[in-house]
Amino acid sequence: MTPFITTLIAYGIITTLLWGTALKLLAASWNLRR
Amino acid sequence: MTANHLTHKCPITHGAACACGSFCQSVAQSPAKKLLIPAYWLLTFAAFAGAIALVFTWTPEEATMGIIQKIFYFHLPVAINTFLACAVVFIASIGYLLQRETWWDDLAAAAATIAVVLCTGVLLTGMLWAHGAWGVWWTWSPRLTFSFMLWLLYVVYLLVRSSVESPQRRALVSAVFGLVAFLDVPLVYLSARLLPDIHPGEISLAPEMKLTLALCMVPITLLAAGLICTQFKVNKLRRARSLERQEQFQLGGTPTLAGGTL
Repeated sequence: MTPFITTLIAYGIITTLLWGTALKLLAASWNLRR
Repeated sequence: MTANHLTHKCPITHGAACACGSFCQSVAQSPAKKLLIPAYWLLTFAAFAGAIALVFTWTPEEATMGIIQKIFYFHLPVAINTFLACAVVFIASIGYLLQRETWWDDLAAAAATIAVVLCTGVLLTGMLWAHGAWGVWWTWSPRLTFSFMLWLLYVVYLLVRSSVESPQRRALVSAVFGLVAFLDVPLVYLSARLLPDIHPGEISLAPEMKLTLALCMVPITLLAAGLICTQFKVNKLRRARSLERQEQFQLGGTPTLAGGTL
């Protein structure tokens, strides 16, 4: 694993974790309001 | 029926008449608010994408570690926001213990959930950076140990919440746990400064690196705040739904064990 790939994976993890949680919460909020 | 009831759908009655009183007022959305929320998320997304572009195209590489040091620009802001989320749990726990109002408990639970998500990000990116820079995935240095403890404490906080059935007891136990768990935050912060640790106690950065770090703080903080607010809203809606079910159960005259009719 090259340093560049490692760095990309780290950014991918943060992006997936935070935006995945955001999408999940927005969907839950929308479902509960319906 | 007030004007407010005409502009939104009651989450409890799903239309018709409002049955949730003050709760309904708190979740009702005006047209301006309806636009404000997507605008907030769009702005956060744009800032997030811009920060990543800045890190990979403009910020210089660090001399000894090379490109892997770039993990730092998201690792540190996520760590700082983990501390802020833990501080929200702490403040909300004090608020609940002083006022015994359920919204404090909803806020504490929301912040604890997001603290776990953020802390997971800190630990995972830290491990990747450690493997690239130091050649090890993990070492039991004071800061890493206290950081892992922080993650465990808030995971246990969420487990404790799900294991207590009575809402009042759950809120009280969680508030006390939330106060105690926060004690680990200063330990994480001070450990690398006061004890020998693999993390540097102080860091000096080139002006471009400082600017990149400051600009990366913006989207991560906006995202963390947005996540806590949305989770808080979801918690409040879930509580209202649960109250609705309870009321329907009682009004429906369903036999209960307490009533001795079973």
